[in-house]
Order: sequence, then C-alpha cells, then structure tokens
Amino acid sequence: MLKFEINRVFFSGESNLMRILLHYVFAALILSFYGGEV
Amino acid sequence: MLGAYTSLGFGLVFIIRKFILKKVVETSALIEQAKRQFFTEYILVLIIGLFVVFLNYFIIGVPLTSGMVFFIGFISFGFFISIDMSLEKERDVIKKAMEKSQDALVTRQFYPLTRKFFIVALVTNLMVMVIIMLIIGRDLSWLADIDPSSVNLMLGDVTKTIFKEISFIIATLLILVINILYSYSKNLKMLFQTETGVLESVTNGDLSQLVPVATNDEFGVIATNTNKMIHGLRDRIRMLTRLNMAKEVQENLLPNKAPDFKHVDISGKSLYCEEVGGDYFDYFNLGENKVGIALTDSSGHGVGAGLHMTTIRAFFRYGVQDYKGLAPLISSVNKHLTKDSYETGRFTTVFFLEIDFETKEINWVRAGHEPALMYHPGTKKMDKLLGNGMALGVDEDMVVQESKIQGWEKGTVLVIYSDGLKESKNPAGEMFGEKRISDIIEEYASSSAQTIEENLIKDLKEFMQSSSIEDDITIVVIKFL
Repeated sequence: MLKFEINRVFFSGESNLMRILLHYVFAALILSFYGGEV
Repeated sequence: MLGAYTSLGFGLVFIIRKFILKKVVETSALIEQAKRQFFTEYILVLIIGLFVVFLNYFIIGVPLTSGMVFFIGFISFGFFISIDMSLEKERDVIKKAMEKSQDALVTRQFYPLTRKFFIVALVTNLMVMVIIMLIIGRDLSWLADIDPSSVNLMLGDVTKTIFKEISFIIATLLILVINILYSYSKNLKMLFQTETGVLESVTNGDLSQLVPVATNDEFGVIATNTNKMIHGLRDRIRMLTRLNMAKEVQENLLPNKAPDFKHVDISGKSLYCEEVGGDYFDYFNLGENKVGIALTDSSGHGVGAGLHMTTIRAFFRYGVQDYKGLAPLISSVNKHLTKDSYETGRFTTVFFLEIDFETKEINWVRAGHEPALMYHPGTKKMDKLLGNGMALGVDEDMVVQESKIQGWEKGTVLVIYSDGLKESKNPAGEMFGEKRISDIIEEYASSSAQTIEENLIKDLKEFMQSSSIEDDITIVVIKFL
C-alpha cells in the first residue's frame, strides 16, 4: 500500500523524477564537500 | 552538519517540488512550459541554498560571508540543474505536441538559439572563474596565516591542494556541461526528426501531419512556417479538387460529339487555359431544315468567366425553345445578360450562325466576335463572315444586326473560333495569327470537319512549343456536304 502510494505520488506519469533525484543527490554531495572546503 | 542541512534542504524541496511544478508549469501553454520549468527549478535550488545558509548561521554560527560563498555553489548548481530539467521538459513538450499535432504559432518575438548559447556559455565561464578565484583567494589567505619560516616546507603541499581543488571544480563543471550538451543534442535530434519527418510526408503527398510547435526559437518558427505551408497546400488541393469537379460539370455542358445533321459535318472543341473557362459553343436544331451554331467568349478566364458561360448557355438554351429568328434571340439574350452582368463589367462576344438548308441561306450575328472564316474549295478563296455588332452584356437596348449570304458549294468549310486561337503565342512571343489558321483550313479542306479541327489544334500546339495557353480557345468547324 505504502509502495503504491509512493509510486503514485512521486513516480507516476513523470519521467523526470529520477533525473531530478540524481541531480539533487549529486548536488548535495558536491556542495557538502565544497561547503566544507570554503 | 553542513551535509545534513544540505541533504535536508534538497529532500524537503524534492517532496514539494512536484506539487509546485504542477501549479506553475503544467497549467501553462505547452510552448511556455520549458521556460517556466527552468525558472521554477532555479528558484527552488536557490531557496534550498538560502535555507542551508541561514540554518548554518543560526544553529552553527557560520558567518554570513562564508555562507554567501557557499551560496555561490547553489547558484552554479541551480543553473545547471534548471537547464537540464528545462531541456527534459522540452522533450516532454515535443512528445505531447506530436501526440496532439500541436499547431501553435511562434511570432516574430521568439527567443533565438544564438542568444541561448551565448548566455549559457557566458554564465558557465563566469561561474568557473568566480569559483576558481574564490578557492585561490581562500588558499592565499590561508598561506598568509602560515608561519613564514615553514612556508618553503609547505609549498609542495599547497600546490598539490590547489591543483586538487581546481581539478575537482573543473571535473564537476565538466560533468554538468557534458550532461547539458548531451541533453540538448537529444532535443535537437528530436526537433530535426519531427521537422524532416513531416517534410518527407509532405513530399510524398501526405498532408495529414503537422510539425509540432514545441519551442519558442528558430525551430518553432520553422515549424510554424512549415505548418502554414501545409495549411496552404491543403487549401490549394481542396480548391483544385473543387475546380476539377467544376471542370467535369462544365465539360458536360459542351456538346461531346457532333450532332447528326443531314447536310453538314460539324466538329467543335474547347481548350481552357485554367480548369474552367469562359468559352462556350453549342448546336441547336432550329426547325426541320435549320440548324443554329453558337460560339461565345466571355471576357477574362477562370471561374468567373466559367460562371458567366453557364449563364449564357442557359439563356441560349431557353431562348431557342421559342425561336423567332436570329436577331430576336440575340436581343433577348443580351437583355438578360446585361441585367445580370452589367455591374460586374463582364461582357461576352458571340458568333451565332443559322443555316437554312431549304432556302440555302446562311444568316449570322457577329457581336464583337472574331469573324468566321469561309473557305470555298472551287475558287480556293477564303472569305470572312463580317458584320457589325457590339459584345453582349454592355447595352441592354443594343440593336442586333443580322448578316446573310445565299448559297454554298459542296465542300465549303466554315470555321468559327475564339480569339484565343489567333492570339496564342510561341516562346518568341509571335502570335499564331489568322494566316496560319487559313493555311491549315485550306490544306485540310478536303478532310472531315473533325480532321480540320484536330489539325488546327495539333499545329497550334506545335507552334506554341513550351508556351502555355493564356486564353481559352474554341474552334467549331462546319463542312457543307
């Protein structure tokens, strides 16, 4: 039920959701590292 | 802590992002969606940046100046994320537009591709420069704080660190730029495929598809113009189909074979310069021993002249039912025609011939028309059937004058024709002329009316070569048996 709901809310009918997820994860990783540096 | 706040910011926005996009992007017109996606995504990333900076400031106590440097990272990442997601949206829009056969219009105020390229290149370079300068600046201030006695020992480590940091920044930006280039090339491929695919279909005669107008740039303009062209072609084909139907109808209004009169052999033919024309010829049985032959030429050509021609045909067909002579018939037709067409400025020239086999009389009315040619085989002389008269449709009270000749010899050939025959030109601009018509009649005078008519048309076509007919041409050949 929960899996179905997650699928419905986040992934149904929107192909770019995985793409933005990857972007956000990549950005969070790099920015955390970069932020630590600056 | 910094990583946790950053992840928290991205996580929160990831959850609400879909609902915001639904409200802001999905509700707008297809052509606007990619642009809206870009700005929405960018604003969301900047909000995450501000959230993290303020969280750091209030909870950990990181100074705002350090926070602003950190924020530049969000500005850079936001830019690349937004472009990539906007390109992804553009692909979605292209697919949706293809499904809907979207036919929007892109006006002259489109956003040129050159400007997009310039802005992306400029912003990317500026970001690389700013980030590298920030890192170098930070490293220099770090070096300044080091004990001068140990600087020489540490220089190797410092060089390595700076090199590592710059490599890291360049590698990150390179990944982001390559991703955008790859994404944009996919869009270009789609746009080219849709445009060339539709153009190929049009070339093969399939006008059912339109190019989806999905972008507000040169591709959108090309797609708009291609669609305009397809709409124009559809209209032209629709019009041609209707004109061909009109042509079929008009062809049935002309006699398709010579009537079976006892003492004359008759053949007639019309060639129109467009699908429909203004020339008309007809044969009438005017009594036991009388035949009437009419040839009319309405001013102009094409649909207007064609409609005029059908009106004249109706007047003649109706008039001959109660035939009381040539002049009354032509007067009556003229009266009706003037009432109908005076306002239009159209007029019609007429040559109407009445042959009485009992009295051996030929009566005719020449109303502004070319004189008919009459060839006498015995004397080999060519006469012109002249006579005074104005074209019909100009003066309602016009007095119609009849002309008459008595008798004919066997084998006499009479040719009535419209001015299109005489005035047809060859590529050199030379007219076919009356002399050539007379020569052909004389050459084929011993043949049937149909042979004379066919040879007139054959010689005309040979004379004209590649030139096209500029006016309707009608020939009626009457041979006395």
